[in-house]
Amino acid sequence: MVLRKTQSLCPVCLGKIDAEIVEEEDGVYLAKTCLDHGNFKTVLWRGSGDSFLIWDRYAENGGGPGGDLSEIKKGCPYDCGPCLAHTGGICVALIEVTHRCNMRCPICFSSSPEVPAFEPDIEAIKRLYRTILATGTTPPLQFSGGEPTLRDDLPEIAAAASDLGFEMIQINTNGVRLAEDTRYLLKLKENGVKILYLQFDGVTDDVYYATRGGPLINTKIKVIENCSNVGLAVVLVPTIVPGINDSQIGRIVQFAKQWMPVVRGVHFQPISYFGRYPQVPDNRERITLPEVLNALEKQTDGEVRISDFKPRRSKDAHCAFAGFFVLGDDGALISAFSPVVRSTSKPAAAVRRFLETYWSPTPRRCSCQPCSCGMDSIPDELLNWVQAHSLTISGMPFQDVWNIDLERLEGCCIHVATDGSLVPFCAYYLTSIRGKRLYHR
Amino acid sequence: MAEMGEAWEEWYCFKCNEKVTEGEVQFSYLQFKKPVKGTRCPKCGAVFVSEEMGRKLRSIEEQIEDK
Repeated sequence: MVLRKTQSLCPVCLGKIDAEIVEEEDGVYLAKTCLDHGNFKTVLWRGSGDSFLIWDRYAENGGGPGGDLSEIKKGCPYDCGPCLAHTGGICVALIEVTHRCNMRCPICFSSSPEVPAFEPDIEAIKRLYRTILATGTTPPLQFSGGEPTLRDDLPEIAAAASDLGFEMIQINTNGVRLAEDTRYLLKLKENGVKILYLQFDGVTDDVYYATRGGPLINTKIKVIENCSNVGLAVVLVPTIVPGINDSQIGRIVQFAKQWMPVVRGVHFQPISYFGRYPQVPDNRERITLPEVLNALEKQTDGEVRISDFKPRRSKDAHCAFAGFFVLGDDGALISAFSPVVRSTSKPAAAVRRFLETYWSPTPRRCSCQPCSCGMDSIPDELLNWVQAHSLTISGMPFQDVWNIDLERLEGCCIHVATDGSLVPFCAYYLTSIRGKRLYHR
Repeated sequence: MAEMGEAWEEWYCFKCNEKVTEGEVQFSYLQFKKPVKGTRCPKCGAVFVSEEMGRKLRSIEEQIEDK
């Protein structure tokens, strides 16, 4: 049964083609045909069509990114700047500071370090900052790559961002250098970095052998310890690969709990196939959001439940889910999201505020002793308490050339800054079956 | 609700018509619990929350409970 019609891309030629989102016995699929290159059918959702459509209730127009938008000429996804048709705001802006990398993972969305060497100097990076500022916001800023920590001048790059008013600076990192070089880590903190967005695929080394080619769990633990010592926050970012680490989803949550409050959240990313990956993916090599949510409930023995999570407020709510928990006195997570409270702010602004509050470094857990103070102290103390006791659990499936829904892309709020323009993440990193890119480099 | 100002001694509970008293009140949210000084009706126990405090707590609630 057809649930919705949309448009997608041919995985071979990247031409725009019609697509249908269809319900079948075992899930929801994106089906499309290129007259030159044949039929493609990719799983989007292993759940019922009804459960897929229920998430549409959270769909919301983001109001666009602001700033100088490009004209619509060829249509999505060829006019990114973004173009006038884009409805997503800006919740995070990415900057690629290097294409070098100290690892060579079997799976890498940016194909580092194989891509041509490129490293913008500080002046070029400041131009990228100005591109972001032209939208009228200072969103959370993420340094990406490559491995950003290979740049010795990353503290200066962060300082330049701080000077321009960026407050929430994140580094997307494998953590290898930061496990050893604590002086460098401290310099990053002193120059405005707040968060490590830490690649963290599992709690045992067999996972890292499969996803990254070597043992890394002790490295990850060392990075987290170092961050705890210098006062940086950590968000664990597992790429979930069926058969490799989908059985560790619950253990990753337990690990995160053990490391609260330095670990502020876990952000699960079902594997997407762009950049470098071993072979053209079969549907069995995909894991979808309902499966991640089911695993969260089952593997935590119901400590977190599917109903604790909300879909993303976006043009297409299937872009992400999030849950927000506080650690109770008995050591169990308690959901703090309300089914009835709904923010009046625009979706991207709400996400920005949420990340700024709950992914940021937090003071050590407060004792919250009785005192003779009046009620005036409550708001600050309550916020401190929540920050020190909270954990976010979220997930985001990126779109690749097989499963991309162009209507969903129009609502994207994660943008990569390039010279003079902002390109939605999934358009920027998308590669054809032959490795051809739409934008990247 | 209005700002109470300094002279809380002159305030009465709207429902019970009792003069409010100052004492320890328990504030709790999720598992955050904190006894603070507050003003309450000795009969029904209603605690006076100023408009400004109400707004602040509403804003925090929105931050916590929605994304």
